[in-house]
Amino acid sequence: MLDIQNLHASAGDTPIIKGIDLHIGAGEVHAIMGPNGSGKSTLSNVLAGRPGYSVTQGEINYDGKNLLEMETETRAREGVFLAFQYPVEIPGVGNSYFLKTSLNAIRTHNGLDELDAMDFLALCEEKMKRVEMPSDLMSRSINEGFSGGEKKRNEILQMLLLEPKLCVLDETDSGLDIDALRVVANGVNSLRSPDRAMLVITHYQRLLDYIVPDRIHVLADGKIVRSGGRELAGELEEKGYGWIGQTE
Amino acid sequence: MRGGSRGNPAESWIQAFPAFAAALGDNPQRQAQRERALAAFGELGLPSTRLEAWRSTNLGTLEKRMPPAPTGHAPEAGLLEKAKTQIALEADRVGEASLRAVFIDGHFCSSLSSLPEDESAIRVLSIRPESPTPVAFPQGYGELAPAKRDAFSALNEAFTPGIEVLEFGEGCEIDLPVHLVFLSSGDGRLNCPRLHVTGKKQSRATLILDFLSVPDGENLVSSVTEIFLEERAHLDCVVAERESDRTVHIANLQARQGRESGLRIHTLTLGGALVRNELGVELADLGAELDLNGLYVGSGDQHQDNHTRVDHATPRTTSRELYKGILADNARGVFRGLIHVRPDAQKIDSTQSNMNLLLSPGARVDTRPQLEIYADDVKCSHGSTIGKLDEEALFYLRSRGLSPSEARAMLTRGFVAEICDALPLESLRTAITELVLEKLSACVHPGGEGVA
Repeated sequence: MLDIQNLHASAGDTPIIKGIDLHIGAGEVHAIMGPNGSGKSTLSNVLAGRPGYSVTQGEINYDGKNLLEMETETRAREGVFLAFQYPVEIPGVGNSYFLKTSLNAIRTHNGLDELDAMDFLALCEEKMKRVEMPSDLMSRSINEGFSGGEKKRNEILQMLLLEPKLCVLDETDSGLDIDALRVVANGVNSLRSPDRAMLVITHYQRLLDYIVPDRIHVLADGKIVRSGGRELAGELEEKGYGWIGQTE
Repeated sequence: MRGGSRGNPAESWIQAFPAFAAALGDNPQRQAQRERALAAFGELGLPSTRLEAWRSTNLGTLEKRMPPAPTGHAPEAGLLEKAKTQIALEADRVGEASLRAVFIDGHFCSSLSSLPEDESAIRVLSIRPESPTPVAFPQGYGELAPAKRDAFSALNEAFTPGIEVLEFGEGCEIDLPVHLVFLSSGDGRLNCPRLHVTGKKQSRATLILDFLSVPDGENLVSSVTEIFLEERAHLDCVVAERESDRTVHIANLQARQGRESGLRIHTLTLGGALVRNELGVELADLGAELDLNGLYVGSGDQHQDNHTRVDHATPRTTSRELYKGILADNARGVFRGLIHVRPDAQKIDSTQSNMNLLLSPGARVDTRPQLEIYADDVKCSHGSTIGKLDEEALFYLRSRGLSPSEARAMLTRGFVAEICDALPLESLRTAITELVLEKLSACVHPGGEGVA
């Protein structure tokens, strides 16, 4: 599903990612852990195509296509979804209107009919239940005045609606209390399927108690310094990131 | 436009006045009033950029275009036909109205108008050449926009075909909007619509001043509107300026509010080559509340200037002012808002905000909020912002599958939502919002060139 080879990337002029190789197959959930500044967010931004980041070397192959040649919106339409660490507030644009526009843009790209208002509403209500999202958040402006937890639920709601093939979750656990974390994780887990891949980026092991990954990679100074099974999270929790540096 | 050569339009209008007056054939009382106004205009002359209030708006363009004075005759048949077509296309777009009056180049056009039979709620008391003498001027006429104070008010008084007078009767509640259409025929000339509105005690009404022109029509419009609200009268006034991008419009709207009256003025500047809105409101009695809600959307080489003046003349009066501007291409916006609080006007609550969105490197805006406060127990705030579309928000929308142009359209739409949502009556709100979005799409898709 996702094949990253020798990736080097910069934020602005600063090299951040210094050679990453990563292969995530369909149906797999991988986690990337690492200290602040290790390049976790840069990796997610490069995958989503955020302006200001440039790939200086290497390749990213997504579902048999060259991801780096695609525009941001094309990646989204082809099934790449980034759950933002800091979802953006957009005053004056209704959340519901935004989600419907987004869903229909993606459906149209994939040769499906657009959903009308009624069908969209029905679908949306069903998905909202799964993330325990109050209905008034749909009639409000995108993320405007949402609490931290509401913003993250809104991200997961979008993921549930758009049903992407590759889900990238960028520190989705940051700023969440334990109840919100459970709700968000349940939403994510409900999307786990044999034809979908997930990349969960987090600083803390806590999230991985709820979203249990198949593989864990530890990122430090722009490189994957350790990869292992889910037991690696426990080790990191116990010994901290300093331990990784020492073993290198 | 006729004329062609450079010159002084003020001179040419003064010279053309006798022919205009003879063709119009007004009564001696009005004729004398017109002559006084013309003399005032002669003394004032067209404002130059040396005047502080006109520093950002250069009328030099009028010298190149030299719009001739009006003829004094109603529009010719050919122009009338085009005007009718345009009314049919555009006027209905603002939805149902309780009354529609159409003025072409300031001349009342009865065949396109529908006035109410029952005059108990809305009275039309217009002063036209055929009106009986002595002329019964409405109370307060000319007090807010006197000819001697400002050149365009003077020009308007000299050259208006008639004074259109509208009165909302005491205690009346008018559910559907009153729709006044001021259409410029595109005859290339100056035209001067004049309106006087009175909201009697406890009346409640919605008024649309709809400024239109025939497509690509050239005109100089100098409009004057005076609004008087009596005790506890409420008026929502929507000013829609959607003329061709070859029209120059100098719009002077002045209002005075009585005790506990409520006035909301929504000014939407979408069209015009050069538009100057001179808007002044005097909160003249206790408990008066004012909302000024403004939007200007400019593209191409449009120049849109809003000068507002809120005069808190008495204690315990409230004003809220929000103007938003979106400027694309090489368009230029000007906002100058003055809040004036007089010495004895205590317990004032006043806010003013001007927010601007520039969509291209060539777009410009000059914003100058001003406070002049001479009382000590007041709550006043003001501020202005100028910005571009938020890159972070654009990326967010694109990461959800929206194209850059869809994302820009959605963000600009979000920017104006606050203004559109404040419009009165759902049908009117929907209709005007659609006009705004049409204009926005012209700004956001200039041949696919983008910000992102």
